Amino acid sequence: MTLTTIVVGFCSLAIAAFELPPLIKKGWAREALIFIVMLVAGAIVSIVALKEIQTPSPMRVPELIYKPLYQWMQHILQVKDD
Amino acid sequence: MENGRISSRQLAVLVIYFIIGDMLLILPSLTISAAKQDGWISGGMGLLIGWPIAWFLYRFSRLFPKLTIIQYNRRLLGRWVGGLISLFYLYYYLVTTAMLLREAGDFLTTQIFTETPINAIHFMMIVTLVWGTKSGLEAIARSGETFFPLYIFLFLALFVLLLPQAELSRLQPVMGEGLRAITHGSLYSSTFTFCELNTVLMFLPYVVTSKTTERDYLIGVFLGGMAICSIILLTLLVIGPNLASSYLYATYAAAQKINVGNFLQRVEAILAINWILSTFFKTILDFYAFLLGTAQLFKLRDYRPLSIPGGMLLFGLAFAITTNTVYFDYIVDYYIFWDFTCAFVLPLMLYMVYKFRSQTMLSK
Repeated sequence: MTLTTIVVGFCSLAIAAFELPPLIKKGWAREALIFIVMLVAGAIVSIVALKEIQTPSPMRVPELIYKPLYQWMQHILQVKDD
Repeated sequence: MENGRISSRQLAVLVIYFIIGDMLLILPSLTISAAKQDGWISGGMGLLIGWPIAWFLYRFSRLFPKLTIIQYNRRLLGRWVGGLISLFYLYYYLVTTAMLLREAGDFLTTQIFTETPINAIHFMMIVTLVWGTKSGLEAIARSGETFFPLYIFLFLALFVLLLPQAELSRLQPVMGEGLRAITHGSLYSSTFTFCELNTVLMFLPYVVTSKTTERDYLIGVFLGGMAICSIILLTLLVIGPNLASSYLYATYAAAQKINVGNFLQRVEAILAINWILSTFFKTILDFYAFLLGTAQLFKLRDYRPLSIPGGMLLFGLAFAITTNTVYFDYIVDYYIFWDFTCAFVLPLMLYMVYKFRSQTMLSK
């Protein structure tokens, strides 16, 4: 476990300690659950970013969906692929 | 969920910020590299195509004036299909926010703060975004209104200071690249400016509607579009098509040419301030749309608790979104279709479902 992981983990715990008690106090279980899910996901991607680990771009999804349309447009407009 | 309400004037201001947004620096290079010296015609064509799309978005939002697009989806398409379309929109808002953040980070670390790590820039911007979304839509709109006079002043100052460097010969030969090139350029100027405006579907329900709301909205769209067209024209007039298409930030390169009597020089920071301002408002509105949409999709009572975890997600995604600026150039072409789907294809489909259902109900 590196320093980056410890720092992000500590920050995430601090955020949870600050934000979760009011939600629990109000009995907002669903809000607390979504908060935890997003916080864990956020902590993981933040660690990945800070460690500068290369991951697939989130743009891969639209790239896969629109590839045929993109190729068709290039054909119509006669754009050369760089 | 959202108790704040904004006025028609605030809506118009936000729309202007949103349309100009990051495009103040990015669009001229894209349009001019596609249409060369006819980039300004592409800008005008983009306005002609984009303005009706923006009008359609407004009319579409009036079908259910109190609901956002996420709530529309559920109402018209049901829990599962509607939920799937809503997830598509949420992913779009999140990735667009991350993309804008990355653009800001890339610009600042390559042009101004060259020694600062990009993650530090992202972190500072995210703190402001989280603070803004926690304060709510009303606070965002008010701060937009507060900065607006400064924004307009700096924008006009840029024009006045750059006019002495303009040369009309740089626009010749007119139509020299043909209609295909102009059409290609107009795809960028219509989608990246007007189609990305689909985020208004997330905050139009919170506008205090009056007789002038539609007019104010459309004026905002028109002024934003005109600003974008004029910035493309100015970039062309000052540095010409060859230089403009080779620079990633062509407008910034043009602003570096400001020289009044060998005394007033290197004031391109004017442009940087304006770019940061409009990009910030575009980013925060997309982030707000993501948070509010998530809360509405999962039927939460408030979206504000999600601000900080959302900010952490952004921090990671802004880094992962592109490995370098070359990849960024490559993915912009896919963004055209994504923007168009979210601004026109899906709303049109929902509109047709609404009309079909209304007719079925009437016939029964």
